[in-house]
Amino acid sequence: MSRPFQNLNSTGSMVFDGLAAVCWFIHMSTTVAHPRVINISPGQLYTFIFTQDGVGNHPMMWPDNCVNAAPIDPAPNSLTVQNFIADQGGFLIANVPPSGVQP
Amino acid sequence: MPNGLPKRMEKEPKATATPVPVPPSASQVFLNTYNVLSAPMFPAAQMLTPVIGSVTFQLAGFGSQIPRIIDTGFIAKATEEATDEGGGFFSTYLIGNSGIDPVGTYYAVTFADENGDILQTVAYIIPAGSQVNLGELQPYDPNQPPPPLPPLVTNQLLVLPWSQTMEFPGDVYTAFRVTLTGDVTSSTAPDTVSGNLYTFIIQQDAAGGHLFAWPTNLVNATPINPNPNSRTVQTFVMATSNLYPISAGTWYL
Repeated sequence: MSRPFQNLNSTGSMVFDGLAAVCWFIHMSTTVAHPRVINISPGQLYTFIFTQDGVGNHPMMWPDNCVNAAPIDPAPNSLTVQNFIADQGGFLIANVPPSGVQP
Repeated sequence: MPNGLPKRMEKEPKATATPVPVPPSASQVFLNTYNVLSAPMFPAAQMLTPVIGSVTFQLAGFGSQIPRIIDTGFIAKATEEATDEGGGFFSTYLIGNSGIDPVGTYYAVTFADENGDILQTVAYIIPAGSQVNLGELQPYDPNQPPPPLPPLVTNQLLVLPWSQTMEFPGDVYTAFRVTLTGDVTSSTAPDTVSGNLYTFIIQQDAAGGHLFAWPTNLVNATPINPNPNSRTVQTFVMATSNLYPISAGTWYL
C-alpha cells in the first residue's frame, strides 16, 4: 500500500488537490498566503509535511477549511508534520497535535 | 510472389500450434486484409495493393498498470499474432477491450508484408464476446483525453445520529462523526480490523456539556470537550481486540 503524495514548492500555486494526493511535502522558501485545499473525501486522512529552507520564518497561512491547524515551525531547516481528518463540507480537522523536527 | 515486390526474406513455415482454450469473453476477429487496408486511415491514392505477411495485435493504452481481464486475476495477453488463413484472410481470438482493466486499453494492430516490413499500424477497440470483421470496424483514435482517474478515496466517514447507546461499525467505515444532543451512556465499535486507523469526531451541540462513553474496546481515549459546539477528534489503531490512540486527541473551541 502506498499513499499518493506530491512535492510542492511554496513559490508555486499552492493548491492541495485531494484527487491528486493525500500527502504533501512542501518546501517553504516563501510565505504561503492563499493556499487552497480541494476535492477532499470525508473520513480520509491527509498529511502535510513542511520543510523550512535555510532562512526559515516562512509562515503557512492555513485556509479557513483547515480547522485547528497549528502554525508551522519557523526555524531554519525545521520540519513540521500536521495531519487532518476530512470532515463533512470540505473541512479538514486536525486529528493529532502537530509534530516537528529541528536540525 | 504477387505484385512483383522484392522478397528479401523467406517466410518460415509455421509450426503446428497446440490448440489453446479460448476464454469465454474472447472475440474471434476475422481480418480480410484488403478490407482493412481500405479503412479511412489508408488513403486510396497511397495504396499499393500490399500482400500482408503477418498481422500482430498488441495491447496498448494501459499506462503503468498491468492490463488484467476484469473479474479475474489473469493478465491480459499483450501480444497476439493472427493466423494466416490464406486468401488475404487472417483470424485470431482476442479479449475484448471492454473486458480489460484499466479502461482506455486498445489494440495496436500492425500489418507487415511478407518481408516483415511494417506497412501500417492502426488502433482498434475490439468488442467483447462476438465475431468481429476488422474491415467493418472503425479505427480508434488513441489521441483522446485519458479516461478520468478513479477517485483516490471513497467516503469513509459515517455520520451517525445521536442515541444513548451507539455503535460504530469498523468493517465498512474508518471515521465516525456524531453531534451530541444528549449523553451517550454506552457505545461499541464492532468489526474493527487489526491495523486499521479509526477516527472519531465528537461534536457538542449548542448546549454542550454532554457526556460520551467511548466504546468498550477502546483504551486510553481523551476526555470529551464539554464546550458548546466544540469538537473532539482522536484517531486510534486497532490491535488484536482493542483500539489504542495513536496520539493525544485534539479539541477545537
